[in-house]
Amino acid sequence: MQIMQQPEQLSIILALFCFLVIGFTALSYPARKFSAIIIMGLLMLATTALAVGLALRWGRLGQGPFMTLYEVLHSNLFSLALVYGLLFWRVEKIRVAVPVGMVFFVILTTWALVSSTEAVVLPPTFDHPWLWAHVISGKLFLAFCMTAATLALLLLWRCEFRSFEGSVKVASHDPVVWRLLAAAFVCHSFMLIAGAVWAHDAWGSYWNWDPLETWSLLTWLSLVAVLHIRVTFELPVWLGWSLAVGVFVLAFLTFFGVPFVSHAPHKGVM
Amino acid sequence: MKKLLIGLSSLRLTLLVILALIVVIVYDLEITPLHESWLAACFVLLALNLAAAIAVRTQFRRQPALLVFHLCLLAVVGLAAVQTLTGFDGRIELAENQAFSRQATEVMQQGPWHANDLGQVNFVQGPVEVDYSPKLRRGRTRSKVFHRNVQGSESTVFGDTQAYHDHGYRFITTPNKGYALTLTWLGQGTPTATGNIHMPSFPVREWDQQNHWQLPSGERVVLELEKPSVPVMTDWTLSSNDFDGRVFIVRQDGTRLALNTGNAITLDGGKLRLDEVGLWIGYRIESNAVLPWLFISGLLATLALGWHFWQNPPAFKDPENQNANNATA
Repeated sequence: MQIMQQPEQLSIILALFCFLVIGFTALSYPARKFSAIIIMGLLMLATTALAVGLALRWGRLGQGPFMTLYEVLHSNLFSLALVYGLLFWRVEKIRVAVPVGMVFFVILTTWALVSSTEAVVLPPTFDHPWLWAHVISGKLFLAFCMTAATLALLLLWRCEFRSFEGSVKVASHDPVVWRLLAAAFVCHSFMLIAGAVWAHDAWGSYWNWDPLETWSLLTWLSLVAVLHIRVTFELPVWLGWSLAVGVFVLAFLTFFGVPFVSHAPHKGVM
Repeated sequence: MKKLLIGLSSLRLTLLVILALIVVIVYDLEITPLHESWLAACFVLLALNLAAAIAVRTQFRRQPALLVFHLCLLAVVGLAAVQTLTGFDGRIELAENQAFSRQATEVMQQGPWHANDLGQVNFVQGPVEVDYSPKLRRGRTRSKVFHRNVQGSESTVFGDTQAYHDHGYRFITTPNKGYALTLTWLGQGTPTATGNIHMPSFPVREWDQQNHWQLPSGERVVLELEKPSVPVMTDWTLSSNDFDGRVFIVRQDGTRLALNTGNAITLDGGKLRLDEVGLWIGYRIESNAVLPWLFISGLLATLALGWHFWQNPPAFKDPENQNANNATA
């Protein structure tokens, strides 16, 4: 465990503090106007702190946060907090799921804090404009998927412990889960295309069936399957939400697991 | 016919094929590699299902964005098939001052309808340079090639994400590179022969800079490079100018003979001369004429999908409204 090796980690500690207070506020004062204002403010503070941390590291190393687990976690925390904040502001129905969302944020932040901050030089294959399109669309996908999954988890939990009437009430949030998944699907599709263009210039082939590419395709196919299941069958709502959570679990493993256990070109060949 | 089309357009079939595709991919990746035909069968079924759905399902006519998305998906599958039939994927290692040769190319995949123009590619490999930062982190690769065109001879420097294009083929540098020995065999009563021996990849295998070679006289020798220096903690550039060591010839009886550039040693049946120690570099060669169309189809599919979801967010059922509607009824 290596905590506080670099000053930019202070920004992650501040973000962690914000997420904990947001979780506490959302649990203690649900559905209050003042709690929504506090949560919005803290989400903005966390996003700003994470952005400053990223900028500090970028300035120090002279390269973007693409290589190490720490950098991927830090940059994803920033993008997730930014998109989550915007969704919290614009889509009122996701607000009920803030406590679940904050559990996820706290886990990611803690993981970032215990990850090694050692820098790895960016391979020349990463110096490509389509890498940006690939990474940004990937981060948007993860943010929409995460928001859908946290809402689905909350709805599942409420259905489990409340009356049938209550479960029908929470089911009014159901379309939001699916709209978020639809947005995630668009972003994921673009991520695959942008990644293919980058891969074509970087490694000479737009598709290499490397583990990260393959698991990304599997995530995309599972999203296709889940969206088609939703259109084809009269699903019980709990099953639809479970599928949404399942897609997110797969996406999470693809984003934060596969690149760091495989020796795929994404990791940068020596 | 219509019944068949309706059956083939079933959304349940779509789901079944997608699940089959997921199973095939996971099995191939995590358990044991499968024959490509499994994947191809899934894609063919998916394409048939998609085509049938587009032909018979009325909701596509009501939702043009959804129609465009599915048409583009169909185009992606079709173009990928065309690429398999017409594309080319190969590898080659070229030493400095060596001319490109079709015969030296290792073909990884070549479609049966590929217009084989590789023989028309005509360039000579020039100097190669690779930058390294501390801890042997690879930086920029610069490969220079000399080629002839209508204006005469011309050179191009490329590397990493910049490819060299020649007669519809893309040459892209790979991380594979190392030292190459240019040797001339001056046989007694046999013709003089010059060629290259490529040492293992460098600096990845800097501890193992040797290779076997059977001389034209029949004797098998080991060619060994005096350990090249590798600055591990500073910035440096790998180039053929750096090497100032010797080459050792280890004969079958264990005799070890040192050889400097320009010198020759006498062996059974002739003399072996070391002309130069340069670098070799590996290329991936690719030809894919449908790639721009594949990109356009994919991009259009994504845009159409985004447009569809933007226009039709309530496409998914809302249980609360459904409940209210039931109550009203």
